[in-house]
Amino acid sequence: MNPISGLAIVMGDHVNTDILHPSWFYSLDAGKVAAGFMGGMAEKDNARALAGPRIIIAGRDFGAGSSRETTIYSLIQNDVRAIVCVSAGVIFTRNAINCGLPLFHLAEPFAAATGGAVRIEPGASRIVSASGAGAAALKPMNSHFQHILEAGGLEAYARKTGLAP
Amino acid sequence: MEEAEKGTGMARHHSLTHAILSTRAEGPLDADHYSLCAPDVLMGHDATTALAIGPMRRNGWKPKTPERLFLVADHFAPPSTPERANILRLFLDYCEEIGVRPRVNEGICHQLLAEHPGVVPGSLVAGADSHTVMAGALGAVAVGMGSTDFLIALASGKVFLNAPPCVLVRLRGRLPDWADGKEAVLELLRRHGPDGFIGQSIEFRDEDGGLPMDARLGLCNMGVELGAMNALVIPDGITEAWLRARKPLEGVIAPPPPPSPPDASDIVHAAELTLDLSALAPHLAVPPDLTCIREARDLAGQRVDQVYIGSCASGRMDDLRLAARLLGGKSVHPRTRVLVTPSSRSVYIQALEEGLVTTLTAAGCVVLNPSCGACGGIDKGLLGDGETAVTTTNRNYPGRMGSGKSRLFLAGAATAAAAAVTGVIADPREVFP
Repeated sequence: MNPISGLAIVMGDHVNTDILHPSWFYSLDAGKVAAGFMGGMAEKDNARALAGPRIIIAGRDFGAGSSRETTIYSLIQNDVRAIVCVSAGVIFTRNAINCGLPLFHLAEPFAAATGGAVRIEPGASRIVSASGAGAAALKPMNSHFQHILEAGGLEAYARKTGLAP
Repeated sequence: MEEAEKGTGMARHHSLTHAILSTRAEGPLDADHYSLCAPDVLMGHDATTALAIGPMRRNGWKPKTPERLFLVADHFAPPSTPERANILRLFLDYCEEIGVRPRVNEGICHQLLAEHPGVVPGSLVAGADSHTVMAGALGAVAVGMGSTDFLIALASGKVFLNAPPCVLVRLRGRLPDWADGKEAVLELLRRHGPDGFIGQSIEFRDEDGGLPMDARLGLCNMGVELGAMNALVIPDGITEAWLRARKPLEGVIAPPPPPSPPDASDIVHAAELTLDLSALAPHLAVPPDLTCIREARDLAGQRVDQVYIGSCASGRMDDLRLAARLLGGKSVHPRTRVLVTPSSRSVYIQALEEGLVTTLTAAGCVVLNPSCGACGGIDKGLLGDGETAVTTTNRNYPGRMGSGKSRLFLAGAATAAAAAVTGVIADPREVFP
């Protein structure tokens, strides 16, 4: 997996799917889904104002709650390239990986500020701030998830492997 | 895999979940190793299935195991906006296209799974909704998932699963007569937090036979709110008796019975804890999330604008009987709206036959149709800015039931009934001595 760079959106613990993408933005209309990005966050304007690729840096229990995959769609539509967190909801994790959005777990604390440039180096299992001020190790990603990401998501993986030709 | 087992000294199956999954898996699986598993029942509802219909058609895929599909219109039936009516139409048209009978206006998919004749001890149930975990109350492995997992399960008949570490929860004592399953899960949330079991399996052993099936369903429903992949109750006499009395959902062809689940006494869980049901006290989850659980008496006096008794987390016969017993002959507080949603058509009919609907309506409650209702901000009964609700649903996140500026306190049916008559948060043991 290649390095991933972006501007950090820093979030705390227990950020659930209803905060990331409120249920009233559930839709089959991609524009409506995209508009719900971070719609339940008090500081959503800061996240939305960032120009360019974004990387979410979060704490414990990220993405708990609903299985609505529109949450992941909204992140991807708004140029979120990866998620780095202490821990994440089971279904949220699967949804992210299945949609081709890498999700990493921190092995140690990582200090970052919203808007700061960060880079994920999957080969070295670490995340670094572009300023060089901080770095942290990442836990190794499960090989099953790696295979899905390398294929471009579960749908592509299923076609590639013949699971659903 | 074998080396991993040898290296850790792990028993062949570290949980009943692991044992059941092993009967469905194409290869070995454990916490780190995923394998394709064939579900006995694959559930989708109108909202999550709708996201998979486009990719199914685009890829030219047809359902691999249509006989195992269970498709339910509950989120958008009846629809509350034209957009949701269009999504429902798409869902119903797709059901017709693939020749699968949709269950429309029959209730919430998770309650209907409990009534599904193919959901039995040892089953594997996969469903495109997080609260699919509820079916674990019957001794099944039931896992929720998103629309892409559901898409591939539709197309292939299989889903990738692992067998995560498992915690055994020994249930001791008996549930008090004012309590339901919500009280047990609120106590687990109080003790362990919403990520206390993150990524794990939870297996409950009811050692004193103190937790009735409706309460077990309510408990397992919120396994996902404890962070777990799945939650199940190890089958016992209560399970057998409940299944014997179950009136199976009409029009469903049950899949072949699953292999008998192994004797759970042979399984050595790596971690365990004890929950004394008889020592439970009424609690509420304080907004804006599930990290703060407080006793009702510590929150007493806070104004309540709406009470909601229903959803897949509640709204079963025992919940409605409890509410009717407490509210019978009383009147709801003049400023408090009280909504009741039976969880399925069969529950609704039984509540009618037992006179519960009359009792609740006479007290001033509005009994709505069986559906997801206001839970998830979907249908009638939404909250306005600054309003507060006591609700028996499963999530209290901002905006979950209407305005993002409203506040939701999660509680059991008794605490909800106490709020209904007093208009404030109150300890039901004091309101209904």
